[in-house]
Amino acid sequence: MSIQRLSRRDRGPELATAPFAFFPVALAGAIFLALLIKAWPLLSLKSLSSLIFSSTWLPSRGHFGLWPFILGTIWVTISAFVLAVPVAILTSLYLSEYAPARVKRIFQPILDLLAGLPSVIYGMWGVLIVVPLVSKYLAPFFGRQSSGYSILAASLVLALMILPTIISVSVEVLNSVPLALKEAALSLGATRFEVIRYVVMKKSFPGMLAACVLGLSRAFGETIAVLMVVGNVPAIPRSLFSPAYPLPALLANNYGEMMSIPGYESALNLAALLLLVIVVGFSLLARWYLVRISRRSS
Amino acid sequence: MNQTSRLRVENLNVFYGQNHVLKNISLSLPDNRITVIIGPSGCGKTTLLRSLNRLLDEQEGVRVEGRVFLDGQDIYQPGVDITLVRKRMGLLSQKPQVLPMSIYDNVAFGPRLLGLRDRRHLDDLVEKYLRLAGLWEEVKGRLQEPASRLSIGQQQRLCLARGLAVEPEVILGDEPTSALDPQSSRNVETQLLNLKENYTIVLVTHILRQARRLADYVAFLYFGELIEFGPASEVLISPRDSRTRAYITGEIS
Ligand SMILES: Nc1ncnc2c1ncn2[C@@H]1O[C@H](COP(=O)(O)OP(=O)(O)OP(=O)(O)O)[C@@H](O)[C@H]1O
Ligand SMILES: [Mg+2]
Repeated sequence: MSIQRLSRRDRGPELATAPFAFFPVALAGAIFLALLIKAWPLLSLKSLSSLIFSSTWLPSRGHFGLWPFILGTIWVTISAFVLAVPVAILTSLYLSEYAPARVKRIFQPILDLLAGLPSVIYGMWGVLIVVPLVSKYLAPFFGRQSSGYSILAASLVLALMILPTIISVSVEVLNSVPLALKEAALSLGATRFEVIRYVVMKKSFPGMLAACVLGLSRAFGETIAVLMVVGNVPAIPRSLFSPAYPLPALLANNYGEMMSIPGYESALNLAALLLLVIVVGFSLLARWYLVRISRRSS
Repeated sequence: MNQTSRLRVENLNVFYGQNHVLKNISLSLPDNRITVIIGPSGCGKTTLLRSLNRLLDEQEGVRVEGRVFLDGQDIYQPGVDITLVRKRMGLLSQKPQVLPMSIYDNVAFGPRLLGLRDRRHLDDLVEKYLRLAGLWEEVKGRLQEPASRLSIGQQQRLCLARGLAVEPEVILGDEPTSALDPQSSRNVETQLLNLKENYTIVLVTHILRQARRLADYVAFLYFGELIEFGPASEVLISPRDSRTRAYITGEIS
């Protein structure tokens, strides 16, 4: 709720703070604009859809098809999300509804620690453990061959990275369901599981969704850990065991090099722009949905 | 006193960790009467009420000793189905706790847990219990709206209807009117008076005037001890114990 009428003396702080509120907005606009300007040379030569939907990436011959990278981003992110969300929901339900206080006390700092680890550590762990796991065990188990550097490896590492964040936020959301509300349901003869299923989950759904979106946004943009295990092959991925080349990896690996190739810098800027649009578009969609459901339930 | 009691407390002791909050309470709560539990803040009223439907031992670190009988069965015996015990007691809390769903679904929640699915039957039950709680006329046109849109007073009566819909024998209320405005409080009080011929009602209150309006029997708790229990006319008008007298005259609060 905003304070409607500010006394004259209160105007000063408002005037002093307001510009800082515009700063992030202006920054976002500036980033978008800079990328657009840099991408423009290529966009003025070729149609946007031909750049987005073409799968041929041969910069030296002037082919800048971004489709493999877009697909790589989507595959890796969505798989990580699908792997992480059920685990995160079950873990956070356990932690908030069943775990004894002792377990909670141990878990919370560990989650914070994991959420704060530099991603390069996850990447190295991925190279050491997850890549061999995929090539030696998981791929053969499904009758495939894989070097291990694959979408599956990347999404496993990524899932692990976003888990602590999703779990921490979800636990907080679940803990905010009033005890008295749960007791009201219990006193109607609900079992604890029924309380969770019909009351806690329902009450927490918007917040849990927000937690997942937070994790997903992080997954979209995660760069280092992913590029260390994903293989970085600019081709349309065919299965979870194929390598891929997500947009952030493309940018991190190549920006600043081979800039003498005509159109190359422009193409990378367009890739960055697409990444930005995907992430922002996605967040907006999620936010809109959140507002809609919270309006419906209150 | 020729009064039957399906709900009896025997030598009940409750500890929060080392803190001994209920001391050897024994009490028979008369059927089809309103028993009001009074006492200063922190004396254990809420704890006693919550021990009756075993919400107490949901918490960690609570130790309950002694017995609570419902129709001769000790509900603290291992192997007792707590959900069945709870279905026999409705609970009204201090602040109304509506479930995050429609008005209709709030009332249908209990019957649905019991496996009732037939829409026609549910419709009838919802209407019946909303009427019984004195809320039907106000909400009959908006049953599918979220319950959270009701006023606080209406929410408390919805909680009453919801509790009645599981067809309990006992109604427990922990200061059920303390969050309500005077008009809504009166409204809830009226419903409780109407209901007592069919239910055993146990109310916690710290408002003596409310106790006078509602109570058939009064229990006075002081620092975890049951100091006095008897018909309202005796306890509230000519108490035997000096501490009870001090409390009802307002010397201690
Ligand atoms: N969850 C808890 N953990 C530890 N101590 C508690 C807990 N709940 C209550 N107590 C303590 O037990 C005693 C009795 O509390 P209770 O809530 O039963 O009192 P009350 O008579 O209902 O008080 P009020 O009139 O303020 O509601 C108090 O001393 C309180 O501090
Ligand atoms: Mg209390």
